[in-house]
Amino acid sequence: MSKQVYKNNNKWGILARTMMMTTILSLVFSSLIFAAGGGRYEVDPWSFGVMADTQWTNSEDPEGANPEYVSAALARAIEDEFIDNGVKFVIQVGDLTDRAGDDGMAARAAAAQPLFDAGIGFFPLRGNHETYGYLYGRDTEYVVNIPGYKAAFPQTQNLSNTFGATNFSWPSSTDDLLKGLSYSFDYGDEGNNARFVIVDVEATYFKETKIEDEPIDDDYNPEKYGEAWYYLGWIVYKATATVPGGSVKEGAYYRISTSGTSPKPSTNFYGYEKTYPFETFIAKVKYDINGTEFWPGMQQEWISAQLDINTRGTEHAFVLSHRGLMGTNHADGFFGSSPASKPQTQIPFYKSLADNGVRYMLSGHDHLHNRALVTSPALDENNELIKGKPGDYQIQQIIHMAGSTKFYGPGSLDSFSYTKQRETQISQDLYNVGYYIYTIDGPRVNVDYYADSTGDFQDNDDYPHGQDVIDEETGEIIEANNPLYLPDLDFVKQESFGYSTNGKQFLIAQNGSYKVVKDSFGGTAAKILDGTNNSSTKDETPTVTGSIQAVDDNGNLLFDSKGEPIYVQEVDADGNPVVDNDGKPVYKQGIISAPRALNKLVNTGWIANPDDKSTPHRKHFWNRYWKNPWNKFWNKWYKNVVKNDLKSDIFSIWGMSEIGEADKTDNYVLSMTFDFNRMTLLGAGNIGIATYVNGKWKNAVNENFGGKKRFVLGPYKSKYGLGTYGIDPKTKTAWAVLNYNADFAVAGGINTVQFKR
Amino acid sequence: MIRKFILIFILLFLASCGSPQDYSQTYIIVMNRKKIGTEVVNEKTDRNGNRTCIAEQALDSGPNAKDKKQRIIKTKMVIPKGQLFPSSYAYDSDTDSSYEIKVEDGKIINTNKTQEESEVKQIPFDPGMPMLSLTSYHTIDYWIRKYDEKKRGDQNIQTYLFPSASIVKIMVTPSNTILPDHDNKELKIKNYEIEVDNEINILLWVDQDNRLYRMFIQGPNIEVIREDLFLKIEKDYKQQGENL
Repeated sequence: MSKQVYKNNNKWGILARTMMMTTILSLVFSSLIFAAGGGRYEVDPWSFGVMADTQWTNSEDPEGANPEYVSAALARAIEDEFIDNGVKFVIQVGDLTDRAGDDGMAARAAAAQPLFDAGIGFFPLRGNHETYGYLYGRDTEYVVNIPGYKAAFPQTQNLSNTFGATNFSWPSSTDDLLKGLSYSFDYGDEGNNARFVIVDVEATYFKETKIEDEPIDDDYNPEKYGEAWYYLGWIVYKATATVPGGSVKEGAYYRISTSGTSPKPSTNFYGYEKTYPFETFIAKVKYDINGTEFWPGMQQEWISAQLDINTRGTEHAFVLSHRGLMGTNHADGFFGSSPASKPQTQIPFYKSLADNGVRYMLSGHDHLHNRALVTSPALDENNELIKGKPGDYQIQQIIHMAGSTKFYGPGSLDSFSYTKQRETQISQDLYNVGYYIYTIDGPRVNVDYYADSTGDFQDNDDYPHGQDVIDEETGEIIEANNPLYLPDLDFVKQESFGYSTNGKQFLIAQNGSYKVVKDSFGGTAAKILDGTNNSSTKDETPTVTGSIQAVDDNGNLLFDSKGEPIYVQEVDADGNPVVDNDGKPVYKQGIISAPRALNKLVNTGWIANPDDKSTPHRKHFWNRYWKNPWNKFWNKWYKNVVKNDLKSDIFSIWGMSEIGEADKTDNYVLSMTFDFNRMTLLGAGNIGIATYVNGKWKNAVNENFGGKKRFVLGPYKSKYGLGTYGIDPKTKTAWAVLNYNADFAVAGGINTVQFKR
Repeated sequence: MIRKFILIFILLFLASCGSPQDYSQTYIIVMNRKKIGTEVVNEKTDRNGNRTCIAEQALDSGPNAKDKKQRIIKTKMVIPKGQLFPSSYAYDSDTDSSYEIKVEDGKIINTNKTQEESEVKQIPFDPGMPMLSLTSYHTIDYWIRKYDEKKRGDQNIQTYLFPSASIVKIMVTPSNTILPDHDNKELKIKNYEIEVDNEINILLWVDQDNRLYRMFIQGPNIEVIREDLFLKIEKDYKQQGENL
């Protein structure tokens, strides 16, 4: 069919032959070439932005740009960046305001208007601060400002301002309470799309509970125990008859204690009955917000259904919530008051992510940037938590830098209920403001984290960089820090990371070798021949000393049968355990919390060689035209040396750069196999590992940070420095000494000057 | 002459000053986000290192009370130097309830008085065990010192819990909980989660001297906030046109 077409268009063949001869002749006399071929691939990448907490934590706002406790000036500055980067939509992972209130919700929505005006969506989710309106008199209806939230953000309910998002869903709940709080949506075309599963775990309503509406079971049965009241935070009864157990006198107030192995009547009110007499403090109605959260276990069925890789119809899926799996500052998180909360519901959640290829859990809450691999907890045969032991499933948690006037540092490791051993640190950045651009690119996801180049922000009244420095004698300002005014922001990329659904992941500890990084795809194999993680950077976990806890052979913390920690006892010179004067054991003291080394999490991924899809008629054209040996030589020379097309699949690599260094990595040697049979004139150095820059595949070493460009025909040797690249005919590979991560492929024409098509 | 005069002046000045170890503080007691009373604490340390702590609570009457007059509860506690348990503790309410606890002959004598009766109990005394009252909130100042900061981690503290002076197991876990109107980074305070008798959970914040800063007691749902922090929070409330 193709051949027929060509024959019927012979005049085009003549024209093409003439043009080609002209081109070749030009090449003989010039190094300039109009590069043909070498297109990237047929998927159009698209991006979304992520930002976090926009709390204005001050009562004062001299600039008048931060209404209703929303740091709107910062939010708009970040949104301008999103607009400039052409994202399709922005997600904010909670704490839209510091003090909630319907006006606070509206103020945050108003601050998102520039996005809407630019055709960019804005999808928020609630954080804990969205529930605090009642604490500040900003939730006068006692509805947790949820109607105000839903009205301000109709896009969360698929009502308007959805900007191309589709397939909205939310968990079923009474009166659709969760509709628009937890929700999911899809974006993008088939094969290049993603699902966003937003899970709200914050309080949802005030409960006015009448004592007669309390669930009645054997433990709370007024008919059995007598008339019931609320007393302070307890349910109490006034014994009207002999109470089961026989220990409570008739007429006495008592409660059902749960402190023992089974519930039983108790008159122990810990002395409160003396200070707060029953007669004046009992009530028939209570009113509170506690216990109205829909924790992940209560939404797991919906979460699992949304993430199901067999039915969801999207290449990628992300789970987002305000509070993360493992806080860096806050102990409270996605499952409750600590990362150890509700372990039985944690396992299904982690499993649902692992089973469905979900790589990232996105959160905020800590006002800092922290990436870590977090492992699920482990349960014993009785389905109880095994303290200190990691479980089977792992997810990368990304705590997003905020745009707020409040900044936190990391908490000490012993304040997280023995869970920090489930966390492997990757990167951390503190006391800054920032944002993220996630790019969906077929099977690949690339994330760029940007933060202000100055950083070192200060809290609250001292935001952004402290008070003005004033000359005490003259009263003049000698250093203007303009407290509470938006500073000049210079957002700079701090790090990039990513993954591909067809790639692999490697955890490289400090001083570890990158040589373990190996991956293949179709006919192309890539591996790192040399390189070491030379990082010595640690996070800023505070140093705390205490008794050293015993660990097992696998490094897991040890606890006794009651769940209490087992400490390492001091021994004397004879090896005998040391006790104090009271005969109590003396435990070995040491550091129990300290800065932790940051690891490198290297991810790889692939895109099939788009140039391998040459049309048959095009192949025929070339074979027919270059039928004599001389022309064949020029043909091969042109195709292999000059023509900027790919001779391998495209290999992506992420995760080797240091936080704050943007893309710069340790020096490493990348090797890639390629279609070697068609190669000629390999010694010219015009074929090699290339990277895609400004629409063209260019010699990868050109983009190094420093180094000296040099071509070698032969295998890599350890003496070769940064910038050396080569072809090894024996192994049919190309290699290059690099110091950045990007997309790489073996390409021809990498050293000729190219014009954009 | 002038030197003598200066010396006398200095001595008089020093005599007029309290001991540098004396301590006083005011706490606000909050229930259901409403201020229901105060606890004023005055602690004096004598030259032998014994501490006497006098506290007074002024509490609003309950919602069902016919008489809306505030109730006054006074406590006096004497803690010998280096001890965890007071040699004497007296609780006196202006209504009808009082009790007194003292240590005599290696026993704890607990005398519980009401308008109707007086009951005396004797309990074996373990000097290594601290005391705590969940309604005399400042007692946590002394009790939390039993937590071994060198050891860290979860620690079980066997405690005489007043007013009964019964022995209960209290689990302390260092924590890092942040409340919406409370910024721990700025205040540089320590936070603990405390579980009393497997029943009552307490979130406790203390300052660098282990003095009570803020405490939320789940169960009775009572919050105790040091006055300076409370005033800061109250200011924010008032700016919203609300009162605590």
